[in-house]
Amino acid sequence: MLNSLLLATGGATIGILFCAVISFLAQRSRVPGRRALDYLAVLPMAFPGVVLAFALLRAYITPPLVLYGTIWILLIAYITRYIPYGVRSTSATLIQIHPELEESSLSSGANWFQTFRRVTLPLLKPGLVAGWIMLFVSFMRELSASVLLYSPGNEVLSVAIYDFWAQGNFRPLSALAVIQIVLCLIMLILVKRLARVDTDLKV
Amino acid sequence: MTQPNSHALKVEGLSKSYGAVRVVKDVSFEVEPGEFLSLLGPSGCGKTTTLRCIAGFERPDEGRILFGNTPVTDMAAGILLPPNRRGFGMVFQSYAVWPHMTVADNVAYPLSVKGGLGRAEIAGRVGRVLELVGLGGLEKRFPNQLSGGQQQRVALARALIMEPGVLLFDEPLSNLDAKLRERMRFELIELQRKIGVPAVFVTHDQAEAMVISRRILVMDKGRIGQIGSPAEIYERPRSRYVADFVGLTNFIEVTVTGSGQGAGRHAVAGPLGPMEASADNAPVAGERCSLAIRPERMRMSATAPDGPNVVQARLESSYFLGPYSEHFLTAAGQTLRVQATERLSAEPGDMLYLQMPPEDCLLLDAGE
Repeated sequence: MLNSLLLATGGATIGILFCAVISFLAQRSRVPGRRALDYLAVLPMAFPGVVLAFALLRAYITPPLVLYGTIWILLIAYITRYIPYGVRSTSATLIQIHPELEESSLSSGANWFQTFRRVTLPLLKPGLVAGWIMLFVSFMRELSASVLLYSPGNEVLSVAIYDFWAQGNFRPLSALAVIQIVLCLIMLILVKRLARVDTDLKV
Repeated sequence: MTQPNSHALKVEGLSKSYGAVRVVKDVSFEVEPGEFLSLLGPSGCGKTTTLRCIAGFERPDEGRILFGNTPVTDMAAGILLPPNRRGFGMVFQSYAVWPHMTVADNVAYPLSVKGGLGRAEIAGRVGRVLELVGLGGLEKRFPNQLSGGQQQRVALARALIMEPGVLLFDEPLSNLDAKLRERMRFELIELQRKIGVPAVFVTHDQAEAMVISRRILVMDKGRIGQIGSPAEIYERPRSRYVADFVGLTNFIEVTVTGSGQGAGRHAVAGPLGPMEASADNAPVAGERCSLAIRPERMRMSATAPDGPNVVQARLESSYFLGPYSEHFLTAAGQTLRVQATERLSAEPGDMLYLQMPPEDCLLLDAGE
């Protein structure tokens, strides 16, 4: 259970920031290949979780990088699988931010980093929060990739629930399912609370 | 607020293409400290691109932009200062005030990113600038609690607080309603007079350009169509394009037949018969030209007046607009538009006499 919570919280945070950078590069920069990046970010949606998991398994079970047996392979699988959703969320918000809002910062004498931190990021916040929630909930209940990639000691909630179901052990199953739902709800409410001040200011 | 170390802004040989399309072609001009120059033209004429090159948002293909003697852009020498190091204040069409900051934070932003100023000093300067643009007491508000006009003033205050070397305006009034736009024009002129830096103002609204600027630069497909005072542009347009874009004009296609009576006068022949017209250049006989005359320079009467350039025309329709009336007449298949302040008792269908004083008939290039 702790594994699930850790993976979902950490994964959602890393994932959404990663998505923000992808959106920013794809839409605001003039980096060559930014169009390709945009398409690449949609690609994982085309693969079933099991297929993706199998590919990751093949990649990380042999040296140089052996991640199988650790929790990290789950993190990578989750982020890879849900990048399309995160990027949609951050891109949709970024599109609504008029480029003049950033240009006026530059012409006010701010450099690129000051502009990103003080103008772009705060304006992006509603999208980041919405994307974060979506990733968090998805990660909490992810099964198809987890069931292939977990290892003893690294079980996540959904895998545990699946195991109980396979054994016909319905009482602990129901208990875990309730815990999963309650956890998701608590996180949702918490994040909405934290973010409300900022989303209210959206024009 | 006046800038003792203010310099002129110079643009030399500026060119810019997007792909195969050349949007700005070899544009050069100079703006003195305290001068208001308008870049006027229809959308797509390159005026905004020119302004964005000055601001540093666009990378021109060729040309130099100098502030005083310091180049901020010099493509031949590989100099392209980023926008944040030019010290030019810019006011955008969309206002571009930040919705997540209060009015005071918006205006203080240029000072706070520069650093090195105390909180009290910043607050004092924010207060003074907000007072100057007429927003005193609104420091704590958020932009979405302000009207469009007030938001534009916040944007203006933000550009002023950095004590910019140059002020750049990208159609700042086009999102305001007509009454407010009119008032803001005069306020901008007043402010500019106080601050005394060069200002470049992009607009597609010729009335706005006329009121606000000492000189107007009419842009024609990326080139300078004409540069001059509002009166020069209006009364002495150098091309058919300029005459057509600035104000209303009747065009009559004519052929030059010879010289007329007096200096600068030429005899022409067209659908309305032989006429006399003026020209700044010297057209040769046989050349095809457009004869341009403003609607308010034509005189309409019921009886035939003396003098040259009198044609008979049929009144088609009249519209009363308050200060003047608008009349549409036809002569030899050509529709002519006339604006007259005196009331005329004529009905549609009546035949009237139109007089076009030769000094108001300008011969211009026929165009394409």
